[in-house]
Amino acid sequence: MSEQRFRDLREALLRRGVAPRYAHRAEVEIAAHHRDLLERALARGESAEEARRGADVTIGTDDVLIERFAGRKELQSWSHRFPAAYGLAPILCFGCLGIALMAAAAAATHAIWPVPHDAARISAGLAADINLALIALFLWILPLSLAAGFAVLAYRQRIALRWPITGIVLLCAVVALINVGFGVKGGPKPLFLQAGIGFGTKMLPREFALALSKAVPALLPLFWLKYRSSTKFRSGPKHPPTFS
Amino acid sequence: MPMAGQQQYALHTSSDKVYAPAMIAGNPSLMSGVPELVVLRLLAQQEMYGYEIARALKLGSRGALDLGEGVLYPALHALEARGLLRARSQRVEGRTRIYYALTARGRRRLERLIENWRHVSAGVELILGAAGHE
Repeated sequence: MSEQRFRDLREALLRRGVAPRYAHRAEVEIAAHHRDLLERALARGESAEEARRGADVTIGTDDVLIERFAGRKELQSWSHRFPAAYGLAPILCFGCLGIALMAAAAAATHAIWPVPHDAARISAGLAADINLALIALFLWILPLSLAAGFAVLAYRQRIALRWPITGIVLLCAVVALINVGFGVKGGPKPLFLQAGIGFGTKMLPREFALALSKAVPALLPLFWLKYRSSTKFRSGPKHPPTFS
Repeated sequence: MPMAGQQQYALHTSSDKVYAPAMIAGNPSLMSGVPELVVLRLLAQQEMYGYEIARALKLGSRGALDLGEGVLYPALHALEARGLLRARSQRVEGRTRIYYALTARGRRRLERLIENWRHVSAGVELILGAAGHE
């Protein structure tokens, strides 16, 4: 067995739904076991070829190993059991993180400019900058980071691409309907920090374009990882069609 | 007798069933939990890595128990996933060893398995003894 064969074994285990930690450990343990068998056989005086053949027979074929690991439910990754979770997880994470960040921003605003808000201390330029930073954070950085994070997770677990694609596209569609704002206006409480979601039928083409403009960069990491995976293991053993 | 190269035992910890085709083809539950029992028993003495466990099983049972490496590692991982074993990795002479040790839960499980085994083997001994005196 070569080092490449053990890497291919790990790849095959991942594609069969074995959790990454167990697939990686299997690669490390079986490779070390194989070397132990080789050394022992060589110490007994066997030739290198005999020792290698004996170690290969003792370890067993890849197919047997893969079936043994894949046949155990305890070793299956959660995403292999519930791949549809990838369709909803990005949007749920965005909701939770978005609410937490908005609460933090509200608390920071309140701490810096206590009630009654002293809007006079905030220049129009500063308010515009804060507004821009909030839009960048909530409507671009957060969703794109989440999309990249879920792409890496999906790659690590070698799940079917349709689920993370669904989740990321859904996330981008929802984010396109969201507005956040920070600014100064007239009235007794001139400082405002707001977030909202909604759509208007007249605005739909614009919102669709906005969703598309987010989906394209959001999906890039996923397709790049897919491309990397397909080139890295092109010559490996036959794998079932996952992460494809 | 198992044929050369044939897997003698397969350990299924999720259902606690073990199959020894040549011996218990008609009654797989007879050997239920034996590989789990012996692996846990070995690891109760000291932490070991896979190759050590495989050799200790073979030598300790004088060749009667040979789980096979393709069975041993999935079984060890499954026992760890169930919280019966704890694993740690260590770099030794240029290679990574994964050492396994019993957890408190594994120790309790081992006690139950030993108790069950003694109960069953005592029963079998009684039957064998009675049959021998006929």
